Amino acid sequence: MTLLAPSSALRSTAEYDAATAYIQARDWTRAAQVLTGFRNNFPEHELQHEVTKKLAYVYREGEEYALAADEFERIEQEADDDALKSEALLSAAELHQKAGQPERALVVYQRYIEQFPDPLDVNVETCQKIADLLKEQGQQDAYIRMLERIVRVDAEGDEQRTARTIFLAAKAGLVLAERHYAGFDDITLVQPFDKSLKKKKTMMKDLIQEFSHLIEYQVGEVTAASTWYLAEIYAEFSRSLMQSERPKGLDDIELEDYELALEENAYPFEEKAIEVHQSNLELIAAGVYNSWIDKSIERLAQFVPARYAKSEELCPLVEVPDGFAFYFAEKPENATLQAAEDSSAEVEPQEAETAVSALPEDTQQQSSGGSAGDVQQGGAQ
Amino acid sequence: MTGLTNFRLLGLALCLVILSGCAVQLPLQSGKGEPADVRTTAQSAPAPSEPALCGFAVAEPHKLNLLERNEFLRAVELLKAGQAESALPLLERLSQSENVVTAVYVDLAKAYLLTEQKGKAEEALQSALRLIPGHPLASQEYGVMLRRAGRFAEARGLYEDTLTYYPDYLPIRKNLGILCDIYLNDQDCALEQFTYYSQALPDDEQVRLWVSELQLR
Repeated sequence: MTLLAPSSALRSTAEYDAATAYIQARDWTRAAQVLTGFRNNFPEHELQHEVTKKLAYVYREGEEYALAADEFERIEQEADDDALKSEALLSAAELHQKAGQPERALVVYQRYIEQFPDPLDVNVETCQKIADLLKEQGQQDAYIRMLERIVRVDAEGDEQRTARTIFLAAKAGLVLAERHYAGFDDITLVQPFDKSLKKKKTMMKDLIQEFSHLIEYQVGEVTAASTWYLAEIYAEFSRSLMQSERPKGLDDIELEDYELALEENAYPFEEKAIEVHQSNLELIAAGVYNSWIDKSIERLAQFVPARYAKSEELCPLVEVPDGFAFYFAEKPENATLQAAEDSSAEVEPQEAETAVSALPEDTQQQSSGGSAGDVQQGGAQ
Repeated sequence: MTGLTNFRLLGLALCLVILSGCAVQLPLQSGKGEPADVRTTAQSAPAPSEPALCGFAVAEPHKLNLLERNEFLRAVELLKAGQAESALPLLERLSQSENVVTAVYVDLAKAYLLTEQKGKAEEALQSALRLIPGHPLASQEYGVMLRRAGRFAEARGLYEDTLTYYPDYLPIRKNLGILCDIYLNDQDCALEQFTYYSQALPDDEQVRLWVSELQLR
């Protein structure tokens, strides 16, 4: 047996080869041990960069995500090639996330978006990952800033914009607009009326502009959401007018006139709200259907119940496994009417009675047991 | 076989009672293929004071044995108690039985939906419809599921198929009307369904209002 000096070229090659063999055998623990040994024993060796790459791979395969993330960060530091650097940064950030280290993931993702504005789609996607992490961590201000960045970066992207960057920008824009909308309900119309009305109208105008702009993205979900909000802006304005503070000192007749004037002013806004909610339903024909459209239907059901408050009949739980019967009692006057309309149906009422009496006894009981539109389960024994 | 015979009798009895003119077409479903097409023409009318019965019966092609029946009833109790997770294995086992009935599939679909397994719920309902084509309850459950998923054309096709088998199954009439009116913007279809429903159940003021509103629109 020949002992090799730790620094000998033969030993370094042997260790590197051993690591490669362990990797091929998928023995991640041994492979990592040999590779870290190599790193410590031969710090100046030309294969050190390869060792880092191998270690990153070995740790990831061995599910040592935190260690793998460190190695990928090291690859980024050691690399000269931009493609390798960017790939290593994204891998490192994802592995930090997998390792339950969101703060470190955030730092690495931030480094990526600053260093690599191109390609645009990856940059915007990474911004979205940062936004998601910030939201999870409750960093509201930073989250909002990141959404603003997504909107801005996409808007400046010109020809690099893709369906995905547009989608993410539209979604981010929707969150930002929703934040602005949240304050709209809070503005109540109080005396002096002119002042509060002006404030509400200005905000209404801004919100209409903001949500209308979102529709330009032509992203189905965002269009439906924006349309819902546009309708609600009108509805809220109408509601605010009706609930506004009444001027003091009016006698009964003056107050009545005032109420009528308010109604006249509020009504067109409610009409507009209905019209905009209805336009949301038109998206269905274009293949768009989502919870925002359902919400528009719910609101329309409140505004125009005769037309929209329609609930489906849901299937009951089937409690008996033997069969199923459905029957309903026809109104006698209806039956008479139909019989009279049909010339071939001129028969004596007694004939029907005869038919009923001819039924088997158990069937008669079942038939007479329910009310109109009864679902009868079972029967066959 | 006795159960099936009884059910045939029930169906026939209902058909006879219906002769007053409520049903356009009264199928007596045997569960083993195409429903028997018992076309009725009004030949008799009930006494003015007695309400006539309209409707139909659907017999199952198989019958659960006693053990299976008890297991089914236990699953139903679990579902009623809000324990869909516990009901699922019982219903899944029953669905593998050679005696499987549509009730098993429909309740299995409900259990899957309650446990947010939409794909499996859909498979269960499709199995029910293979067992008895156009089964009213399976179609009702499936139609609403398709509508909620935005698969409006499929929901409409399903409802229309069901109505060729069971034209008097009013819940499907109502659901198809709503689908046409609100989601498909097909007012003629909606009016046809609500009118049929309203003529069958004239006391339903809500649907009567829907008919009027559609006529005025």
